[in-house]
Amino acid sequence: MDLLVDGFRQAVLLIVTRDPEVAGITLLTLRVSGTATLFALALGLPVGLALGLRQFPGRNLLLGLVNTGMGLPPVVVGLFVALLLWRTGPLGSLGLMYSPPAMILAQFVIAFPIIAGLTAAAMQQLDPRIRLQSLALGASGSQALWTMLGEARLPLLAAVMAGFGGALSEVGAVMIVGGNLKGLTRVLTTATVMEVRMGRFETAIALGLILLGLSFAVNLLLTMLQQGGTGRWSLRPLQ
Amino acid sequence: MRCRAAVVCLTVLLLLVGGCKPQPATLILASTTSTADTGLLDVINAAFEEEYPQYRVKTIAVGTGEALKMGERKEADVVLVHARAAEDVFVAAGYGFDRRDVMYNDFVLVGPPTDPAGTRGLAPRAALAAIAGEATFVSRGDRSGTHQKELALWAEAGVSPAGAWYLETGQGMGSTLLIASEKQAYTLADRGTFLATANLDLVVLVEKYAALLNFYGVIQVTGAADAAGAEAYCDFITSPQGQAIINEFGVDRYGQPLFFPNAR
Amino acid sequence: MEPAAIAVKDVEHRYGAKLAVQIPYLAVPRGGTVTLLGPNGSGKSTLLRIMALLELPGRGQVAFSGELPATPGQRLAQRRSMTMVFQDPLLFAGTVYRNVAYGLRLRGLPAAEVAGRVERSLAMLGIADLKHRPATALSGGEAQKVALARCLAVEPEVLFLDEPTTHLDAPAKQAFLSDLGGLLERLGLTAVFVTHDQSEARSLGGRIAVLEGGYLRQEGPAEQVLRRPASLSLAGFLGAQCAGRGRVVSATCVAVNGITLALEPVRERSGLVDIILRSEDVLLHRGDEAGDGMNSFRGKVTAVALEGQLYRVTLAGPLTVSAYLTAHVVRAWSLTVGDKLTASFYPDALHLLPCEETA
Repeated sequence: MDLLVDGFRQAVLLIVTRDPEVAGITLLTLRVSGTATLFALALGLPVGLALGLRQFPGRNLLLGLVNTGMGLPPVVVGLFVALLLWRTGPLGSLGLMYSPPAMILAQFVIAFPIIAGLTAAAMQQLDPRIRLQSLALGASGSQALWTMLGEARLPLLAAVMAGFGGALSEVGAVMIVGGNLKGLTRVLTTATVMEVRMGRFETAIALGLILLGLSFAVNLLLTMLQQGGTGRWSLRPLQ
Repeated sequence: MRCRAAVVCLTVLLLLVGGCKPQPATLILASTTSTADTGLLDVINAAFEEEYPQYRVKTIAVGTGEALKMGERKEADVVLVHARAAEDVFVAAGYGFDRRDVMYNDFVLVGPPTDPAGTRGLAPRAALAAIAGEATFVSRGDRSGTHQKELALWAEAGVSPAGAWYLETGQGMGSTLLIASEKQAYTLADRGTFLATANLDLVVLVEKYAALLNFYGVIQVTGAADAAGAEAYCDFITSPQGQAIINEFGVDRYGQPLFFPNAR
Repeated sequence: MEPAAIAVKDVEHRYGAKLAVQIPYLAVPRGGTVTLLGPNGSGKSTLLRIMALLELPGRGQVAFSGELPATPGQRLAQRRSMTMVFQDPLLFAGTVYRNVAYGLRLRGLPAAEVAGRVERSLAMLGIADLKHRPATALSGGEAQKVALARCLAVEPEVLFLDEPTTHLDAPAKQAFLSDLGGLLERLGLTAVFVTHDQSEARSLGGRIAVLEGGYLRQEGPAEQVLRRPASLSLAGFLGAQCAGRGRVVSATCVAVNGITLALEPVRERSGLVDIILRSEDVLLHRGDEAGDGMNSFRGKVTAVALEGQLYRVTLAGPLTVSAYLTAHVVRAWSLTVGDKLTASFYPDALHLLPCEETA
C-alpha cells in the first residue's frame, strides 16, 4: 500500500518538477509512437480502403494476412525487424539498429495491420449506396471517397486510436530493436520494465501513470473529434 | 443467499489450499541475472531438490540491489549475490545472517576484435581510460552487481563515465552484450554470460586481474518464511557436492568452468 | 425535332454471366417523365444507374441531348446536371442543412449562394423548420423529403427516382408522390421514376416503360400502357384483368358468352381474343339501365374485399370483372356475395389480345 502511495507521490513530483530525463523519455515515446502511427495511417488507410471497397485478385488472401497482422506479438515483430536491421542483416548497412528509426519501423509494423484491418472493416460496414448517392449529387470520384471517409469517421478514428494504442503500449519490439539506451532509445514502456527489474517501483509507477495519461490525452482528443456534434464535450457540430 | 454462496466459495478455497499441503514447500531464491542466465542455478537447484524432495526452489533473477531489497522485504528466503560491500551492510542491518562464500567468477573487458581504443593487454584502469571518450562503451546501467563493479573500476580509473560514448541499456548482461556487439563497442561482462551468449562479435581484451574477480555469497534472510529450507539450501550449495557441481559447470560446453567454488 | 434529354441506345449490361438489362432504344423527352415499371430483378434500377452515369454499361451508349460525354470531365459535368433520390434517404451525418448543402458545396458555390439555395429548396418542400435538425432525428417521410430537397437544391435538369416511396407508410407515400408531381410540373424537370408498383406508375403521368427480366416489354404514354398491355402476362402485372374470352365478329363488336360488346371502331381484329379490362374503368350499379353508349351486363357478386380504402367487388356474368366501390356505397346497398349488379364500361376501355385457337 505504501508503495502505491509513494508511487503516486513520485509520479506527481516527476511531472510537476518536469524531470528532464522523464520529460525526454516522454517526448521520445510520443515522437516514436506518433511517427509510427502516422506512417501506419499513411499506408494503412489506402490499403484498408482498397481492401474494404474494391474487389481484386488476392484480396481475400491480403485481408487474411492483415487480419492476422492485427494480432502480431510485438516481440515477434521486434525479432524480425532486428534480423533485418542487424549489422549482418539485409538492411544492416543502414546502421539503424538501436535507434529511434528502428523503433518507429517496428511500431509501424505493429500499427499498420491494425489500421488497415479496421479501416477495411469500417468501409465494409458502410452502405455502398452512400457512394452512389454522393456521386448522384455531383461528387467527383475523390469527393465521393472523401464523403465516405467522413461517414465512416467514427470507426476510422477508432482505427487510428487502436493503431496508436498498439504502438504506444508495446514493449517487446522497442526493447529488442531500441535496446532501452538511456537518452537515445529509452521510452516509457521500456523504462517501466527496467525500473521494475531494478526494484524501483515508485519510478515504475510514475512512468506507468505518465504512459496512461499520455494514452488517455491522445485518445480523448481523438474521441472528441470522433464524437463531433454528439456530446457536450465535443467540437462544433458538422454544419 | 449471498451469504451461502460466500460460504461455499470459502470452503472450496480452503479445500484447494488444504489440497496443496502435501506438495513441496516453495523456497524463494533471489539471485542475479548473471548466475541465472548461465543456467548454473538450474543445475544446482535440481540437485538440491533431489536431495531435499520436500522443497521446490523458485529462482527470481534480478540485479544484486533488487535481490537484497527482496530480502529486506522478506520476499525471498535466500539471496545469492555478488557485491560484498552491500552484502555486509545487509547483514549488519539484520536483514540476513550467516553469509557464506560460495564461488567467484571473473569479469572480462570485451570489445570489437579491431580494438579501436587499443586496450588489448592493458590493465583494467588503463584500458578504461583509453576507451573513455575515444570509443563507445555500453554499460548495463541497471545498478546490478556487474554495473557496480564497472562503476568502481571507472572510479579507480579516474573517469566519470558520461557522454555520447557511454551508453546505458538498463537491461541484463545478455542484451547488453548484444547491443555492444551490434554497436562494436566495449563492455564489462562476467565471463560466464559472455561465454554463454551466442552470436557475439566481441573478443576478450582484458582479463585475469584481481580487480576483475567477482565473489558470490549466499545469505539467509532473517525471518524467512521457511528458515529450515533456507539453511538447507545454504548448506547444500557450500557442501562438497554443491561445490563440485559449480566446478564442473560449463566445462562440457565452453571447455572451462564459468565459476570457481571457494566455500570454506 | 429537339433531341431527347436522354436516349439509351443498344445498351446491354451483365453482372457476371447474368443479363441485367438489354435495351435497344429508350428515350426520355426533355421536360417529360418516364416511369420504369417492372418487378424486382427486372433491371430497372440498373438501367436507371446507367442513365444517371453511375454505372458504365457493358455495351451501348447513352446520349444526353444528342451528345455522348466521352472524357471523364464531360461525364462529371453531365452527371452534375442530374441527380437521384434512392429508396432510402441515405442522409449523411450532420444536420439537415449540411445534407441539403452537400451537392452545392461539391460544386464549390459561395457560402451565401449555398445558404440561399438550401433555404429555397427546403421551403419548396415545406420543411424549412427542419433545417438545424440532425439527420438522424427525422421520421421516414421527413428524411425522404430532405433527400428530395437535397437533390432539388442542385437545380438539376434531370431527376432520377429509384423507388423513393418503398419505405414510406401509405399516407407519407401519397403525400410524397403528390409533392413530387407538383414540383416536377412547376420546375419543368425531366424525370425518370422507377417503381415496381403499377398503382404508383400513373401518379407522375408521362410515359411508362415496362421491364421484365432485363428486357423492355412495352413503352408508351402511361394511360395507353396501363389500358393496352401488350400481352396477357403484362396485363396481370399492370393490374388489368382478363374479363373473358370472346370472338371478334366485326370491326366494332365482339361476342362473348351470348352478349355482344361494342368496340372502338378503329380496332381491326378477328378470331378468338382475350378481353382485357381495368377495374377503374368499370362502373357498378344496381339497376339494369346502362349509360349512353356503354356496354353492360348483369352478374352475381362473388367477392367483396377491402383493398386499401376501397372495396374491390368481383362480379361474375358473361364476363368476370371487378370494380371499386366506396365503403359508403357498400353499406348503403348492404352489398353481400350473391347480390345481382350491373357492370358497365365504355367501348374504349376494352382491350383485345388475340389468342391461339384451341379445341
